[in-house]
Amino acid sequence: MKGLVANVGTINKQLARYGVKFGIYKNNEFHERLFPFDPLPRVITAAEWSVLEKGLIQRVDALNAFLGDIYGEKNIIKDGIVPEDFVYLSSGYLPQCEGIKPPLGVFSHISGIDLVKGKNGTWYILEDNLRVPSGASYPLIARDLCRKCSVDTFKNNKVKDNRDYGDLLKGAMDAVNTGGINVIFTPGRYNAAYFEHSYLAEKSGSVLAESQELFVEDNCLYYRSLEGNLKVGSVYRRISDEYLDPLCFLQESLIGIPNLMSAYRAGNVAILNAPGNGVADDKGIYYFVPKMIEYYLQEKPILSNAPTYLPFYEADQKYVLENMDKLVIKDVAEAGGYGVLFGNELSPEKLEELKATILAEPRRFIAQEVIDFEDLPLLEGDTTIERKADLRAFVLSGTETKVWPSGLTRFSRNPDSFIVNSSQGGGFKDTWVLSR
Amino acid sequence: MGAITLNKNNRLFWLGRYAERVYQSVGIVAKMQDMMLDEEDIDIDAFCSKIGIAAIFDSPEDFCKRYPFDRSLQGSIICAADDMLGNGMVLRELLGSLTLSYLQMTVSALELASKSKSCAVELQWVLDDIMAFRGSYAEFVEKTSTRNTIRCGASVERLGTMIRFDATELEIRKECKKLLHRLERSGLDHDAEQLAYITEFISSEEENLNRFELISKVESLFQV
Repeated sequence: MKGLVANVGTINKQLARYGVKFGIYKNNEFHERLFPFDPLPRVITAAEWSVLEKGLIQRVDALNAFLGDIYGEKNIIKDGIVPEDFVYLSSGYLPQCEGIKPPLGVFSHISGIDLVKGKNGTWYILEDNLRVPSGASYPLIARDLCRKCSVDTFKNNKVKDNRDYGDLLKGAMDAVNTGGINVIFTPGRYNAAYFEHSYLAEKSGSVLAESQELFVEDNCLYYRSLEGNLKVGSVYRRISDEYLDPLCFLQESLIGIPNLMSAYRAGNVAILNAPGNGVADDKGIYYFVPKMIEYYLQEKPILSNAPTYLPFYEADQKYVLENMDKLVIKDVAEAGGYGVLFGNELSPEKLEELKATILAEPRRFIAQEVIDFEDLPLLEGDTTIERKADLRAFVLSGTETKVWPSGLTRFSRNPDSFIVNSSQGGGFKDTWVLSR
Repeated sequence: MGAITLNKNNRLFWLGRYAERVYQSVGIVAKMQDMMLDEEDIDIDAFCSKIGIAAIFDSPEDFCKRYPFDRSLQGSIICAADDMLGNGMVLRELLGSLTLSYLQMTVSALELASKSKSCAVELQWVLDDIMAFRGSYAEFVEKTSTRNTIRCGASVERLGTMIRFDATELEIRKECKKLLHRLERSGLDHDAEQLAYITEFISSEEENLNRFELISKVESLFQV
């Protein structure tokens, strides 16, 4: 690691050279920032990874089974495992997707699973992201640049190569392709993750397209190439469900493709990830994922959820209201680190206000024990400091489910803060998975 | 994957224009510095009019200080560089990250030069990065038409500077020939009437070029 530390300036210059940025809107203005990178990687041993890998595959397979069930037979509701309220009242549930069977039955092709490692050494799943999880491009390019900047580091440490993410993505797209080209569909240059969209298009050999470059005719999706319209067989959309198709979802969407859902429903194009996946990564549904694993796979969950309570259930509600100062309360409708309230940080008035809201809208919240997750060292000047960090693991599903042997480790910039989101000032690290 | 849309083709053309504009503009600053050193009598307003920017500079020194680096100044070199990078960024999958990195480096070199006391020397890095960009796309962009679309943009921009800055008619004819050669290989939509004018100019031997008319014909040759 000394080599990486010694070359941190060079690495950061290289990241700047390659435009490794993310966008942020502040006061309605778009700003692009370099994503702060810390050269000290998170290191995961081969043995630890072996468990994580199995657990992540298990979890994503169960989530895919759940999505197929929810938009199909709904057996998990009929059998009383998941209350229907948590499905039909979820903002991620889209009735427009009822009955659609995507190619290979895969709904979540690129899953971003957020984990933290407790100080007791146990990994906990914090959140599943099955809509448009972003972040793979950052450790992907950082690794490439770090290898160039400190050859000895990678000669002396047996780290699994992570530079095949583009191939894994292409594999997932090809597996479900209905005949035609692969497209990465971006809302455009001023999207926060535009760097990632364009970089993944390059690495997966896909075409990067905006809505005006795509159209639906005779229930097929086409790309307006200068050399004639090209049929699109799979589209990796980096745009939220509600903006995808103005004729099906938000009518005012200017960044969607009219009739895309018809083409999808007809089986003429694969959409990665499938619209409607939000029902499975809803913070309320998170509670039920271990139950899904047992229900669909008849297996015991390998990875643990953070201890979670649902105020929807009377016993849980009582516990939450009595122990709010020890819990973190999450609004299920929020994302990106927003809507997360630590009970011990709230004033008595705010606490009472929150209690009243929970009583009025119990379905809207979940409560979790605060996990004292491990701090990772960060370089600051010539010294190291410790900050909270999580891990987003990427699981790709096509003909089989694979875990990318790497991931995005995000850290908080502020001491004592548990919020690691880049939109809130956090940075990132490479994630090393040791090969032995 | 080399399939491109009309929108991307337009961006390729403008990428070529802006990259060349940055390159030519650095040359213009060098020219101004030369004139200052040689203590020539400089009409700064006339000079600005020649390069097509607002005559808002107090002096040649003010021009050399602000024209390259002032983002609030419409038509400054750094604004052209930002536009160049902006067009490049949406073409990453066609150009490749390596080629695109030279555009980012051009912008970074300009920003660094703005902080230097010897900016004339530092601006050399800008030229180097643009040259590296040219070499990189020539080497790594697979499709002939894609490469030549960028080059068409560059030729239009270069011709504009040459015509405005008193290049000889022979030099202008040579550049026009180059432009038409690139046009043939680009597949860009073009205006037949303008093309006929430029073709006739190339083959004519008369030495009475109407420079403003030629600029206008070159500028409106492409329908982008």
